[in-house]
This record gives sequence, structure tokens and C-alpha cells, in this order.
Amino acid sequence: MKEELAERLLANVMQWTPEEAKEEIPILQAMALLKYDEYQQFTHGMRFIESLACWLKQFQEKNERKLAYDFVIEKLIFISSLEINHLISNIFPDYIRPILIEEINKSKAPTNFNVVDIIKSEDFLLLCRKSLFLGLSDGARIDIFRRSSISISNEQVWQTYDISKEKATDLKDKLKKDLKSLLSRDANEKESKFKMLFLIDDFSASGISYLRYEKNEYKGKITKFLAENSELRNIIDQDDLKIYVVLYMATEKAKEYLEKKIEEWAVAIKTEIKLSCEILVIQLIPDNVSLSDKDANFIELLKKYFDKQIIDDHYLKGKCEYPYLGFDECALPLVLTHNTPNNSIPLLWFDEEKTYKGLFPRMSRHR
Amino acid sequence: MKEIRNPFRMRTAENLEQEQIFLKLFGEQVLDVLPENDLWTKRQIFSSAPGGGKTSILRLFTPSILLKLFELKDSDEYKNLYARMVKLNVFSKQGPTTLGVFMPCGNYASIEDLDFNSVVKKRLFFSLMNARLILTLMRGLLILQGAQYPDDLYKIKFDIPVQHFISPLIPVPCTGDVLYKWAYEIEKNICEIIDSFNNDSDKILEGYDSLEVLLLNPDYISYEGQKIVQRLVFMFDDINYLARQQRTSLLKEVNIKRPYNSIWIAQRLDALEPEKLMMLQNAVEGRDYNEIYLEDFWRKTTGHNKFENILKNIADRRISLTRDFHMHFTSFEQSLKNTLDGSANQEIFKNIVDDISERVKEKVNTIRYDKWVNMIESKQGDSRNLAIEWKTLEIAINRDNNKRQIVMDFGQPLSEEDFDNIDKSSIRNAAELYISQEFNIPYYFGMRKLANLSSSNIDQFLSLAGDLFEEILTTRLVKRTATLDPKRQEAILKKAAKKKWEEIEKRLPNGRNAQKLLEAIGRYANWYWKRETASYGAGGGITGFALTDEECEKLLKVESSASNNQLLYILSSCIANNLLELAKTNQGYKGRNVFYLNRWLCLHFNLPLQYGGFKNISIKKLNEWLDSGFKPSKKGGELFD
Repeated sequence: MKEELAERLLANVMQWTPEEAKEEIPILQAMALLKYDEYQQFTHGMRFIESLACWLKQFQEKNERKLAYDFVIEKLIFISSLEINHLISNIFPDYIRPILIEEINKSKAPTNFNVVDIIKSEDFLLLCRKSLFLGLSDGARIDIFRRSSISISNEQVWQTYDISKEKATDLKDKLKKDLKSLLSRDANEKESKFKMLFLIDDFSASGISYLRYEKNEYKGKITKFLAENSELRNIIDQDDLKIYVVLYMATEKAKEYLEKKIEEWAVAIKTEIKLSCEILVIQLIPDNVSLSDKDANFIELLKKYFDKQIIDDHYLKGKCEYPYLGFDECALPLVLTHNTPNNSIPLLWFDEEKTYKGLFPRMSRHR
Repeated sequence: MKEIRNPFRMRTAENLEQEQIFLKLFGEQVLDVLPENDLWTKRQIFSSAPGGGKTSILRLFTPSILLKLFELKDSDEYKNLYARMVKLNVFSKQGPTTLGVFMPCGNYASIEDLDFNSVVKKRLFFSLMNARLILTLMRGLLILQGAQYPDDLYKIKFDIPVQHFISPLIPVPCTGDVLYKWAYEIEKNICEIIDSFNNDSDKILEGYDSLEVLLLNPDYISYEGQKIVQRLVFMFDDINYLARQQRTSLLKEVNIKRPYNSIWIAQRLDALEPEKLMMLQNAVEGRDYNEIYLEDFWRKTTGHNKFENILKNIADRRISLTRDFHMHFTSFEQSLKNTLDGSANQEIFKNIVDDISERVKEKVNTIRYDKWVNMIESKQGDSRNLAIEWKTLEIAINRDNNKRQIVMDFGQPLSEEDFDNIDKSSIRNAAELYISQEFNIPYYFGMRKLANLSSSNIDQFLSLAGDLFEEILTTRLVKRTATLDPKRQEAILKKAAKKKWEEIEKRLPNGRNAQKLLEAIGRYANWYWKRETASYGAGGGITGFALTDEECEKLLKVESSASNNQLLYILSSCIANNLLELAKTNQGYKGRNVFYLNRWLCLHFNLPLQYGGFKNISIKKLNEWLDSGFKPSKKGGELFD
């Protein structure tokens, strides 16, 4: 849609005077240019201003439109691709590398504060090489992670946790080869195992999809890769495995939930694999970001403009007493550049088949 | 070219990267500041407040811009500018004859922080400058030839005879690639020294005690055997960013060197010492350089509304970049409604006429003014003009009442001739503003007032015009009309002035005190304004103050008191940032330095925009104001300051 037409539509929908439009439109245009226009699930010809105008138009009352508009201006959080890429590029140097350094440090006594010595040591180089980095979804952007982590080899990074036998064999063979080069001898079978496992993903709001106890068993992304028939079991050190679940962004709620659940799961699985598992969240999203009682008026709007078609089996896995607050009632005002998470309020992400329009329509993974 | 939403927000010259956009926005009348006769033979020093237009002028002479202009010379949009440049001998039929070597001076001050003695620091400064001048020069030469940098450097030849250079360190005669390597190594080494934590004096390269590159003669520079340009002009931009010692060294160097080439220097006024700032004036005969103070130049420009026309031209060029320009705009000026015509306004003015006339008649209790009243009463015309006539009469009566001695009044009325003899232009100007203030009618609107409000600074104009244009755009969106009514114009301008006022504290060093002083001046001027005698200047009101030459000298004395030093610092800071405009006058027989409020400050304090109205103030009084603000006091029933 032509830019001017979109602005005119918006001004008409909001019934702005020229003075009011003068205050608002430059801000909206600036934000659209900076971030919002890059949203990847807009349809052809649609950009933020147009989407906003169409979204606001569906509200019947003027005060409803004002409420919705204020929500966009004051509460909406949009994580752009630049921001995500920035997060990803920081992970290895600022988060993972210190973990590896600390691992080596812990094994030495007395404690060595001379980081340069540690980094140059054979133990560190070995530990680095025996670390495996796996993506838990497309959002992990493993390609960017790999390119920004110059200290690690391509042979220890893979975009999925579901590994075929051939790939597992290949990973192991390449590990053996590199270990031979580091040790100046052949590594034995016990040595040729990955000791550190980094499971990488972009976002979690509830934590449920990663780990949950359902029908008397633990399910979720974290458990899948260590299933009994998983090829991964053959290349990890089952007697002493350290797992880090690395999330680029997660809510406080998700972090607390996962920490608790992981502890339980680690105990349950210890007869099979001796492991420790920690959550590492790069950008923590505080709980106060979610809508609360203070947003009572807006929540009434969510209730009024709700299409229950979005409630399916997957949706019901989370809390669902107030489904208009999003999956597991997370009530997040969050949009990611590649898609809007379903933990965000549905009014933000309804797709075009629903009764009401979403401002940033979502492409669902679950069909 | 991409359409832009609000092209008045596109600033500054440093950021307008596309040559064509730059040329499109450049109004050729700006070149009026360049002296006609000795442009290339004397050094030119351009000084202004931020946003005065110095960098734009310099950039016009850089190779990529010159090439683009040459390419577009036949286009209607650019042919006037091209013609001006031809007149300045910048182009021949084949292309540019002049190469501007543009040298921004923002990256040298850190050398002064190094732990070396001053001689070494000076050497480092000149070495780095020499290297960068050479690199910029060679890049410019290749641009003019349409060649690749640095691949084609070897095609440039510097056939400079050895005896023409003082320093044997520069490896001429040679080809461009050799000189490139030389310059590159120098720059690299110096940057390493700056970045190093060590103070390894062994690594100090052989230094250059002067700017040798300024002596390069373009006659000896060729590309594939052909002479490239007739003239080099070295342009040092923003020397205010240099450390003080560097600035002094540079100015001394260009003064001593007397190079073959032209040297232009651009600086913000805040680079000048307070003594210099207080004595601002343009070119003095007999010097081998021209000092051009841009705001001062525009203020003094003769020719009716010349600067206003320049601003109109700049504004129209800007709006031509907006989307769908041709569908919605004819000119920027026409988007600003500049009259209060219309039946609704006529009705308002009719009521104003009634109010004022009634008041005047009530006030007048002698026959002294009978003829004046009758004269005005008999006038015909539209209500707005009549309102102004009545208000003019009221002011004239006030003035007469204030001035006249108590004489025996034998009942002789003043004649119509007496009325005609009054200097009515200033009273009429004042009358307009008084009416607007009393009856809440817009006053600050229209292109002319906007031009006045810019106080001869282009950037200031763009800032205010940008705010207006933003609402013109949304008015067009909402109401489908692209004109802004006077009331909205005034409201927007007042809001902009308020915002600028609030920023003073943050933007100026010692900003709070500067604001205090300006507030006192504004309130002082307002106090006089409320007397309604319209006795000062073209607008009838005070919009500045004057210090005599003696007072100025007192202020500039080295052994001056702490309070005087502070006052001097604040005044010079206000001048440097165009908050106060300095003008010299010899009114009466004494020389006086008049400090006018920037016109946007007049808007902020609801004062007239015309110049000419000021009062003598002592340094003692200014210091009192700085201390405790302006307080009108009464003595003997008369108010005086």
C-alpha cells in the first residue's frame, strides 16, 4: 500500500487532528523503518503502518482504538534481526567461553586466575573441541552462531538435535582426528566423546515445550535428543556429561520453570546418563513485561476480540483458563522478527483466517 | 532519487552523501558570501555559529560534487549554479579546473593528549596532516579522471623538481603509488603511536615541522602525461575541533607559508577567543586574508529581502524531494498562509476597532488629540487596517503623553501634520504586535516572519521550517489541503522556541547562567514593551542591549574581576552559538556594541522581530542580572532599570 494512503487511513481510523497526526506519524514511521517493517510474516504489500491501520480499524469504539494504539506505543516489544544477531554473536565469547574456562579452572588447584594461561593450556583446547553445539529449532540461527564463534570448528556445530547415524559417526570421526592433532597421539574410545553439550534455541516464554512431565514421562525438546534410541548417546560421555540449554531470550517464568524441571529430570535420568544440566539465558525478559492487573482495560479488549479457533491440542498443553492471554497465559507483548510467539497475546498474532486480525500475524508451527 | 518524508530534517552537509541530493539542495545565492575579487589569491576564513552553512560551501568544491555538477550542467535545475561556478573560474569547457582538498579537522586533538613535549606533538600533528592531505589530494585527482583508487595511482606523476620542496623527506619526484605508500606509512605509524600505551620516543618518526603539502604546485601534477587541474584549494573544515595549540600552529603555518595554492578555513565561532568574538567584523582592507562571518554577512546583505529569497529557494529545493511533490505543492511559501483575510477574521477585527476606538476616546480628555481622532475616524478600509490605525493612534498618544512637558494647554489641538511627522513605521509595526497580544490574534506567521526568525542562520531556518512542514504534511493527510493557517504556524513556532529555550541549559557550557542572562534581557525588553510607546527600533521595542566601547574594553581587560570574566565568557558563548547577535553601531557619536537577542528568543519573549531597538546597559547591571535576574525598580514615581 502506498505510504501516504496508509498514513491517511491511520489518521482517519484514529480520527486525529493534523496536530495529533504530526506528533504520532513521525514516531510510527521511525519505528517502522527501524524495526517493524522487517517482520517476516507480513503478506505482500503489507507493512507496519498498513497493518496498524487495518488492525485498529476492527475495534468498534474510538476509546478501544485508543487503548489498542497506546498498547502498541507503550508496551509492544519487538526484537529485530539486528538485535537477535547481536545476541547470537555475543554468546560464545561472553558466555560459553567463560564457562569452558571455569570448567578447566575448577579442575585445577589452586584456583588459577591467569586466564591467558588457561586458554593456552592443552586441557582447555581439548575441552573446547569436545564441546558439541546443537540447534533446537530454526530460530537458533546456528549459521550465525557458527560464523561468529571463530574459536570452534564447523565439525562441532549442527543445526538440529535429531542426528542420523551417519552424522553421528562423522562427528565422532572428526573429533578423533582433531584430538589426535591436539594430543599428538590417537585418542582412546573414552577420550573420543563429547563432554559438553550446548543446546541452543532462540526463545522460551513458558519452558513447557522444552521439558514437561506428561503421562508419566518426561517430554520436550531437551529429552528427545537423549532418547534411548538416539544416535547422540553414542558420541557423548554418558558418565560425565554437562549440558547447557542456551536460550537467546527467555522469560523469568520460563527460566524458573526449566531450572526446577531440569533438576527433577536429571535425577530421573541419572541411572542412564550421569549429567548435569543448566539453563543459560542471554537476554532475560522480566515478568513485569507481561500484562497484569494494571492493564485491566486492555485485557477486557483482549477478551472481547478473541477468536477461540486458536485453541487446539497444543494450546491446551499450557494453562488455558484465560486463553485470550496467549499460550500458558503468558500475556506477553512480544514480537520476534521472524514470527510472533503464541505466548504473546493472540490479538497481536491472529492470522488472516481468524475472525479478528493480528497486528503481526503468526505462522504456526503446529498444524 | 528516494523520496523523503520531511526533507527539512536532512542535515548536515557532512551527512548528505549523494552528490545529486547535495546539489539539488544547494541554493546558488549562498555563493554571494564568496568575495568576487580575491577568492583564490587570499586566504578565506569562514566563521559562523553551528549550522551557518560553512561546510556546505566547502563541499561544493570537492571533486565528486564538481564532477556531478559538470555532468548536470545543462539541466534546468542546476544550470544557474553551474553558471555561478563558471564565473568563479571553477570550470572550463572540459571540466573542473579546480580541485578542493577537503580536510575535516575532527581527528587530531588526541595528539595533544600524548605524553610528549610540544615540539614532538606539533611534528606529529603536521606529519599526520601532510599524509592525509596527500592521500585526499590523490583520491580527488583520480575521481576527477574517473579512475580507480588506489589501483590507478601509478598513473599520477608528481614531477616536482626537488628544489621546490623544503623537506627531503617527501619522495618527489615520483608516481602516485610511491607517494601513497609514503603517506600510508606515516598515517599508520602515527595512529599506532596514538593508540599505544607506551611512550616510546624511539619510535617517533622523523617529523615534519611544517605543512609541506601546501606548497605542491598543480602545474607539476599530471595523469597519464596530462595536466589535471589548474588550481588546488586546501579546505580545512571545523578547525574548532583542533586543540588550541594545534589551531594556533595551523593558522600560523598557513600565514607564514604563503602557498601557491588557495587555503580556505572554516570554523565555528566558539573557536574564537572572547576578544575576537566581541570584535566581530568582516574583511578589513590591507589584510592578506578575508574573514567572513556568515550570519553577519547575511544580516548586512543589501537588497530587499535578499536573505529571505535565499531561504525561499532553499525551502523549495527541499520540498521538491518529498513524495508526490508535484501533486501537492507549488512552493513552501504558498503552504504558509500569510494573511488574516476571511470573513471570520474581518468580524474579529471589526470588534477590535470598536474596542480600541472606544478606549482611545475615553482616554483622551483634552482637545489636544481631537484632530488626530477625527482623522482616524474618517478613514475607510478593511477592518484589520483600521484596527492598526487606531492602535497606532493610541501608541502615538501614549508617546506624546510620556514626552511632553507640562505646559499651559490653551486648548490647542495637535494638527494632522504633527501626526504625519511621527515616525509611524515603527509604531505601525508595534501596533500589529500589540493588537495580536491583546486580542489573541496570530502574529508570528508567514514566510517573511519565518525568515526573520532564522536570524541569518540557515540551519535555524531549516529547523523551524521542518516543524512547520511536518504539520503541513499531516494537514494534507487529514484535511487534504496543503496550507497551514496562521494560528497553527504561530503555535508550532512558539513550541519550537520553547524547546530551544529549554535546551540552552544542556547545550551550552555554563548553560544555566547563559539562560539566566538571556531571561533577564528578555524580561527587561518585555518590561519596556509593555509601556506601549514603541520608542525603539523598527519594531517599536527593545530586542537587545548595547555596551559602549569603553565598557567592552573593561570587560576584555586581562586583570578584570572574576564576575566580569564570567560575564565575558557567557556573552562570548552566546555569540558563538548565535543566541546573541553582535552588531557595531556609531549611533550618536559613541561607538557601541549592540547585542541583539536571536529572533527566536524574541518570539519566546513575545517581542517584535525588527532590529534597531536597544538600550545602553552597564557591565555592572549585566552582572546584577546574572546574579539575581531583572527587577524593575521605582524611583520618584518613574520606572527605570
